[in-house]
Amino acid sequence: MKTVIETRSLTKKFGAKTILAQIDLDVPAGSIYAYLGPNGAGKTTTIKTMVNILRPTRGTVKILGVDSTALDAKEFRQIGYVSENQVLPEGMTANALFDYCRPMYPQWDEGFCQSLTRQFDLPCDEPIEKLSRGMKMKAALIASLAYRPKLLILDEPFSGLDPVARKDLMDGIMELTGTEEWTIFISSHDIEEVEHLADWVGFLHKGQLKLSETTESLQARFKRINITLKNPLESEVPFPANWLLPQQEGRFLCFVDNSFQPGESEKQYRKGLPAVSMIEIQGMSLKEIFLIQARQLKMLNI
Amino acid sequence: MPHAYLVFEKDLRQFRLILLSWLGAVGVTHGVALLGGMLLNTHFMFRITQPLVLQWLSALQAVLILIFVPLIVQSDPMVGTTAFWLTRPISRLSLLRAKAVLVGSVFVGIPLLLEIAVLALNGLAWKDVLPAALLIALEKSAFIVPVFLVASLTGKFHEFFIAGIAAVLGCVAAWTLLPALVPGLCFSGAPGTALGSLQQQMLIVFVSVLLIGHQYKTRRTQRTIVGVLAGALFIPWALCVLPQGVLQQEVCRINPPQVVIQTGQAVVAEDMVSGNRLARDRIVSIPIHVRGLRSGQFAVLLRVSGPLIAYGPDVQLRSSGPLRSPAVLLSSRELQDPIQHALKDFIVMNPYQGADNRYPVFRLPETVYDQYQKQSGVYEGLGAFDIYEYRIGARMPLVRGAKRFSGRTESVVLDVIEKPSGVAVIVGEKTLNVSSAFSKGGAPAGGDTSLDFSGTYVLVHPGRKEAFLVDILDQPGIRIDLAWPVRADRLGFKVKRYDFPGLNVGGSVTGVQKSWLKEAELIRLEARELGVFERNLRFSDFVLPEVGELRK
Repeated sequence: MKTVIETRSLTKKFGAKTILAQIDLDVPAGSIYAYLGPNGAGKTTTIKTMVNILRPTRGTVKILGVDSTALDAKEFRQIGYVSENQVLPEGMTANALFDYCRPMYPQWDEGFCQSLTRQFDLPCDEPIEKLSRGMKMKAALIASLAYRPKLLILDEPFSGLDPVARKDLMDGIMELTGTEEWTIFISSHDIEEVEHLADWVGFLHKGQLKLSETTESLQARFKRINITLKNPLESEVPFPANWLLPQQEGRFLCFVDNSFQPGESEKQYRKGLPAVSMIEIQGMSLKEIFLIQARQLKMLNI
Repeated sequence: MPHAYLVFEKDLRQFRLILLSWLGAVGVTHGVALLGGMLLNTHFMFRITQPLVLQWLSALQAVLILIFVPLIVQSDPMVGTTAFWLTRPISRLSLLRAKAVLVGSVFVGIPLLLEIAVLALNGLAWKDVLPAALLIALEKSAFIVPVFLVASLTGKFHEFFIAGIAAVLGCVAAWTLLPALVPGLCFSGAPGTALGSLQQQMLIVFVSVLLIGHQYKTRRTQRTIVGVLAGALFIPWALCVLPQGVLQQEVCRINPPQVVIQTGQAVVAEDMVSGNRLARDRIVSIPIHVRGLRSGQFAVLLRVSGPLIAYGPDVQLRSSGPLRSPAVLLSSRELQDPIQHALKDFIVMNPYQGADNRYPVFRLPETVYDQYQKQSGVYEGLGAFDIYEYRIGARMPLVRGAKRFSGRTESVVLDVIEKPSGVAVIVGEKTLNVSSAFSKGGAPAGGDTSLDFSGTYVLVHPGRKEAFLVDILDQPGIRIDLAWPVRADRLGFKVKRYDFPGLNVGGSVTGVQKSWLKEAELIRLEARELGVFERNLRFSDFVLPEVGELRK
């Protein structure tokens, strides 16, 4: 598997406070990687370290095979970056911004730029400072897409946008992902924003990467299990660690299995529980998995 | 297309209005200055208002620099994590090049060209153009480059403003406290000489450029700030230890064989100039008179190196800091012979009777002074003396509009006001002084007081061979010094009133005679440096007297 982003033991501290702890992350080429986590988990710090805005305290980051601290113009011609925090040159119009960026990228596709401008209905002759937040994000996105970068990094791109602008932007990205072969790394604190886009998911919690895998394997692994017993359990039974948030009421037991394997898991349930009457297995959405994961970590006080 | 050019072009477009307003302010300033040179002799009201206008325009330029340079630098900030350029294929070196070229060309280059043009139209010689350009560029850079540096360490204008105030207050506090807290620390404040200013400006530019380079290369702001703090301490220290003559052309070293150094009564005073109440230094001054020079020459003590006072074989006091330049007074008795010598067969009818000049030769803290006061010791130091003589620079009839050029000064008689017992002459002076810091054998940097020895006017009657010195005690009249745009001594326009009230001194002239005045001429005397010599100063039985008390 060819990776576009690779971090090894990535650690970032601000003073004594550890923001990122030993992050090992691989983003495969061609994937759409959703980097999820609650606010303050360290997503933006990870991204800023990836693009050499911040230096790692320890560990390494490689982007397109180059150490992040050695990124230069050659690599940045292949990287698109849009962040909710990025400050665009406010005095410029969108057209002036594109004129400014165009000579920096030999591969700039003017036709693509104009088609995106039309698609996003962007007013190109107004100063950027007078544009709405959504329009500013669209301008930033066009300025990062028009040169067809190999890697597009989006840091909370939908944050603070109204639903219409959010949908426009999301539709735009979804449409492009169907036609362009690039890697997208998108961070968000809201799984709903990205669950239809992502084929890989990473979950960051308090600076620690709790999971990183394909959505397919994640959804195959996480199942909601409802078990009906013939008789209620007489005493407290210790459940396996992969049974998350178990709840028992009379003859009914439900939990989330984070290591579900078809066939094998059912055998394990029957073996571990006395007199199983019925086993119901339900699939889970990414949002449900995200919430279960967050609740479990909260319960364990991690 | 080079990325530096892209950024340059972007900034040029983005800041076109503020750049145009800057160029407008610079253009108006130099236009007013140019008109000053043309109309100084004819339009009285313009003479009165021009200095005020120029001072306001100069202040406006400084304010505009403090606003515009940070705006340009901070449009692509070197601090923070949200700048647009951070994730674009623009190298930091390209950014630095673009910003440096824009700021350098607009805020240094264009004003420099205009100023050189104005100087050239006011008589700047071709040979002086290059040194003048270097000095002006250095002077402007010494203000603009530190502004650039502070701007590169901040991301927003209000941060620049706060950091700038903090930097100024920090420097003042450090420069005040450190010499008091660290005994024996060699630390120099604002230099008093043209060469000292030049060295200071070079050090400021050098250190600032290094730190800007570091900030743009590494974006490690905290380290650069540490560098700024180190630089703020390094510059005054370096100014103190740098040899003052390191940049200057070698002046003529002469060795007058028969020189005798005579001294008089010492006097001790508090260091009132620096106002440093923590240090409370005492300054010891003594009158020094050099005898044995050739007729017409006089010597001025330039500096004393390594001054010490020995109290027995074991106790040696060393001077605790730099000594300020002495004030050599025109009224000094020792200047009368040189003035008379320059005037040759004219007889000076009203020679001054002032005392010999007194030179500061030692500085010590108050506590040390209290300990050794009234004890007898031996003073030693190496004195460097400048030798001067007076020459007639310009000679013109005493009529309104008379004009003469000598050296770098053009003198114009603007008005002659007759009084019952004398005459007042209003003289306009236009002085070009653009390379004095490098050059040798020039006139000393003149002050603006009537006692300034570097240049003066004498009223003479060629037929009667009578000469009258200007009245130095009664000099209240109109004095207008034009300071533009920053320095007064580069192209200075001065209007001074010289009073000659005692034209009947000695009985040779009874009252003001119309015929005497009709034939009178005004002579400008200028002090010219001939060379320097050094002598060991050794005064045995040297006693520190009480403050303000004269002692042998």
